[in-house]
Amino acid sequence: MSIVKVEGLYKTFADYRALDGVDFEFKHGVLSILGPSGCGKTTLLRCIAGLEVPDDGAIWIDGKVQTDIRKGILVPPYSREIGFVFQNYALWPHMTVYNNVAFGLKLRKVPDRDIRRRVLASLDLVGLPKLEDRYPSQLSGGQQQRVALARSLAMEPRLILLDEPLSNLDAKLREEMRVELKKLIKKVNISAIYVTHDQEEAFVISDYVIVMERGKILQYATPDDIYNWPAHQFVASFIGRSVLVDGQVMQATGDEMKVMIPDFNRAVLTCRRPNGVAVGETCQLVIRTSEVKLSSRPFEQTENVLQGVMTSRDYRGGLTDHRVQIGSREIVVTSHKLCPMISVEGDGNKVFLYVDKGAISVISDQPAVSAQAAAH
Amino acid sequence: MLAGSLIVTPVIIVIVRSFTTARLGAAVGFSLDNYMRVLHDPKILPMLQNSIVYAGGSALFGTLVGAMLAWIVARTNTPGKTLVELMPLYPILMPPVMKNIAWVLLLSPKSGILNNMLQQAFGIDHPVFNAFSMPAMIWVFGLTCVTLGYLFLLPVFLSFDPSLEESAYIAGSRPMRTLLRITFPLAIPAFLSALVLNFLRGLRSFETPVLQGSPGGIDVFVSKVYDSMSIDYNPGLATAYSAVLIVLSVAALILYVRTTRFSERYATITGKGYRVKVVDIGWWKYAAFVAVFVYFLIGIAIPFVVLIITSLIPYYDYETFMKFPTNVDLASYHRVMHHPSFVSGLYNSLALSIVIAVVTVFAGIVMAFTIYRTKVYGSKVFEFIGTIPLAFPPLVLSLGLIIAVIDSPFYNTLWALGAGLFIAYFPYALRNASGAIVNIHRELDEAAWVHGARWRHVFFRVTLPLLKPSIAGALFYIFIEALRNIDVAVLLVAPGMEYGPVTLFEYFRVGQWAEAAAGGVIYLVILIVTVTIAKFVFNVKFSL
Amino acid sequence: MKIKVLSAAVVAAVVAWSGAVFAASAPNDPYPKAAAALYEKAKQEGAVIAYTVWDVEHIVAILDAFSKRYPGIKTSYWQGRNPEIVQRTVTEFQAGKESVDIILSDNAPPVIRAAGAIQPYETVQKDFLVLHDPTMPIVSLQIQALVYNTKKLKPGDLPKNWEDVANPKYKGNVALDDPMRAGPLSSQLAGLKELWKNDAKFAAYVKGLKALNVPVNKSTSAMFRLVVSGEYAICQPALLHDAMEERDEKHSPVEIVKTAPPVVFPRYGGIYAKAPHPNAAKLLAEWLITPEGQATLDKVGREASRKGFQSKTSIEHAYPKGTKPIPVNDKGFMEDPKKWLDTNVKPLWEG
Repeated sequence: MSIVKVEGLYKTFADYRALDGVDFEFKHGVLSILGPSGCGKTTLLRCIAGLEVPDDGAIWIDGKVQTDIRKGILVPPYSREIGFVFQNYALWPHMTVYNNVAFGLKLRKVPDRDIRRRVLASLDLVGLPKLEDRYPSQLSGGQQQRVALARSLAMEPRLILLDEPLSNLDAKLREEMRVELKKLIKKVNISAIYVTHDQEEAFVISDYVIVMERGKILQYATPDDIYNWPAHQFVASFIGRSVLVDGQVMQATGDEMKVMIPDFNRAVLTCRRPNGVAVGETCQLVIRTSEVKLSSRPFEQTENVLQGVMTSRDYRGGLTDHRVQIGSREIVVTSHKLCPMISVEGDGNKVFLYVDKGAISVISDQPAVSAQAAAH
Repeated sequence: MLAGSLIVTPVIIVIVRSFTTARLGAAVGFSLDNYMRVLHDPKILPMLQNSIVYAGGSALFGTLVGAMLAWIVARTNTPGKTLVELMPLYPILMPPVMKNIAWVLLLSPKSGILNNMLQQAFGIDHPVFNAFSMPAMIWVFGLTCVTLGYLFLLPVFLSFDPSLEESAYIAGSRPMRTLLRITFPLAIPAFLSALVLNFLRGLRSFETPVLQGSPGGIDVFVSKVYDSMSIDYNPGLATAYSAVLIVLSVAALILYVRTTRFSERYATITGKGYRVKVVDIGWWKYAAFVAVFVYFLIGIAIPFVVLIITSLIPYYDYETFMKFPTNVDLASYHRVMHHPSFVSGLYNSLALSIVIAVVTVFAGIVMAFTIYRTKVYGSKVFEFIGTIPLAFPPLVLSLGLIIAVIDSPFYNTLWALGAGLFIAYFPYALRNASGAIVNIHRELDEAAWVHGARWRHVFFRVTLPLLKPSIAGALFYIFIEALRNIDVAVLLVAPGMEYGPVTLFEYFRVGQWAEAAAGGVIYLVILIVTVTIAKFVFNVKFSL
Repeated sequence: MKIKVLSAAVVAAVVAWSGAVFAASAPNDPYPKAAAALYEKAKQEGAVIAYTVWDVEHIVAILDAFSKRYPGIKTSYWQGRNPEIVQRTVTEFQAGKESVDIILSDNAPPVIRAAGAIQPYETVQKDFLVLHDPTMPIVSLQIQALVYNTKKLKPGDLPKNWEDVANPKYKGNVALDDPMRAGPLSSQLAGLKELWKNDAKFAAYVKGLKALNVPVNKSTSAMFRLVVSGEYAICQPALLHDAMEERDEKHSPVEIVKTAPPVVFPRYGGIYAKAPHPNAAKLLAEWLITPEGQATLDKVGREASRKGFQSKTSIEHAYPKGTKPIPVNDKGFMEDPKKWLDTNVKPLWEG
């Protein structure tokens, strides 16, 4: 049985369409919904929580229908037995940490002794022992975030929804918290849906990722598949540093093909061949520049080597961004201090770039949800 | 919803009657006659213009001053914390009509205290101040508008996330600039609430136009409404004239609703914990103290002293006034204290005012909560309906109420009087509550909701406790106002019922200034002592 | 102290004077017999409810004195302004409420009568009244006087009569009531029009007032206060009892222009059409007209309506002998002042 199932979800606000036909099913684990702001990801989460009523569609949690607009079913949020962690924590400023966490348990008429036990256990779990008598205003941002999490966990929900929970924390704390959050969710063994605009965060935390744009799901797959097989140019450009170029298939054999890139002085690159792509068709290639090798001297092999001219270098501490002009395009290749790929004397010099087949993704008219994800 | 129907009934009665031909109550037939008379009245345009300048000017002036005071009290390190907290409170206690009388005495061109002093000190022959002019009207009514500005904005500033301001300071913004660019914009919903209410109060206020406007030849629109009642005895015509005021108030409300449409923008109480911090405004803090003190002087101290002296001398003219205290005469106090229903009436109205304040404020919060936090169909309409009673002349509204209850067992009971006061003050309670609720981030409700709370839990455990500071302000204001209300109440007072304001404030109505001053002084002393004791003995915090 | 001395003097005067009146008119005074019959029935009714425009202090004192004279009748009152009295009474009348017995006021009763909510009652004491209305007992009077500030105007500069106020030399010194509102000036105009029966003279007067080009006041009392304070020199018009109280008790610098005859306007005790206690109401109205009732009114500062009644606020006391008051008795004006003003004053005032 799936923990969440969504069918035909539509929602329009005044003049903008937040959800434009969203369908997916999710069995168990952690699912991230990734996308830029305004893509509808938060609306989707709020619909699942029952905080927002969609214009059309249906939602099941744990196999039970929660929302079904056509049948007029709408289970109120307080009966959905879920946890929700808000972007701004949404801690009640007039209650102590203890009362914040105990709030839902009290409403459920859990016996006082059990409440105490569960509140303290949750606070312990999130790493905040002995702070139960403080008020939210006496806590740091990270601590407040943990209280918000404890508040949801104390309810022992079957599903926890997190709306950009880390976006208010500073960069360092955010990295720590996301690892911790992942451990925590695994430890209590519940399912979670995690909304974020940070792909790194999504990849670290989740088992599956949904990429959304303009109210539509563009791709639903494992982090690995999304990275390697972006199904859409938007997905590709949204995930990591990459360059998107148009190409024409020159030759296609088995699972490989050669593609000519007009922008790169008509250079030819060999890459994996998606099913059904034939000679003469146009396609788009996504080149992940983080996987490109750069050298001032020619490589031993000749296949998949491009030639360009170094235009400038930007030092970023341990990293260096190299701007390289290839044909009519400029691309940025980053090298690490520990493995300098290049020692170029000055700008304006000729450089060579090796693009491994694995660093290239091909976008064609594939279905939005990849085969692997659909199998889950 | 009960509150809704309670308000709707008299409102509908009043509106329906404006389409009838009846002069004296009886509904004879449907007619547009009243409206035709209004539309063909050539005088109304200049009067309307005066009204808008007067009401708009004083609302803007008063609300701004109130907002500044609230900010100083809530957010700055102005010295003399207790004093600064108390000083803006006292002027609230002074009934507007007392302010009118005091400022007429101060600013009259020939007989006014200030002009005479200037003449004696500097030999300035022509009058510098003129109580009977538009600026003076705006000045005096503006001072009475400070109250709402102060009480509505104080809770907003008290719950303000200081990081919003601090980031501006760090970016090099000076305090005043930060105030204007960061702090005030976030207080817009509460500010507009107070502004709209003050504007509507100004449109229908009668005391200032009568006491200061008409002697200066400044006619305002509301005198048309008043004449329809007092010489035409025609409530339908009065309502038809008021329709113009209703249109203006709806326009003002639409402005409010549109501005606060994206209410999330204005949430200053978020689920992110923070400590409300006092802002160090440097040398400005002395200026701030002086500003509060000056407001205290002009808001109550100076007019109060003028009234005390006036109540103690046989009659007012400048010469007699300056002879004080050689000519003290306690006759006015003697008369007031021997008033037959002074004590019992005051007791009744105290009790009723407390009940009305509590009930009205609570109902206002429930209504605002329904409008802004639930999806009850049509609840937005109550934004308007709840405010419309403000646009009616009090007597017309009172009449609508009488017709609504005349055949019920409530007629001539305290219940009917209570209902009248409730309707009169509900708009204030609603505006105050909706301004305040908009300032609470919706996530705080939603967090409760997803964690198992039903609406009643959200309301009682989250919203209500968070609204505490604004509830306190609204209770205080409505209590003070209800205590002196006579306009709406008068028709609903049963024969033989002793009701404080009607007896105490009749001196104001009949224009006995010395007795009015004496009654007002007694009344004010009671309130001032109460507030001061509450502050110092029971340590009631008037600013949270 | 002052008040005590004063009231003692009034009481003494009243006693001395009323003794004389009783001696003269006792044999043909219809009151004792009528009152005895009314009291008999009123006792069974057991109560009387009054709506009044008069100050609470006044009505309480009046009802207390009435109760002392006629025990067994429980009194209660409601106090409001004229528009409030009119609206409340007419609304209750239309709803069939037996809510009130007597309406003690000036402007309201004729308007209520026009709406059919007054039952006609002619007082048995009509021969003693300065002004009489066969349907409503006139229990008191409103007396208008032309008043000036003695510090601001020398006796030689005084206007001689009402018309003289329109003299351009008083421009800027006159506190002028709004003639188009239900204030004293409008009733004065109704009285003068009837008295003069001369449209040209009336028109000249109204236009003359207009030509003063001064703002008009909308509050009688505030306007009077401004004359006392010296803001204006002349009060057009003031109420006689206000002027007398200021002059004699507070020693304010005000005085009446004795050559301008007072304008008298009735204050009625109208019996409500559906009065639950009609006999008690009639008894109260009749009693108010008796010397005892009039003395009670006088004691609280209200003007007597009984001929020859001597008091500080009586015309005989304030004005030279032989001054003939100007009565306001125009039925059209009384019952629909707005219509009367629109017809008779508006064209002159606004034209």
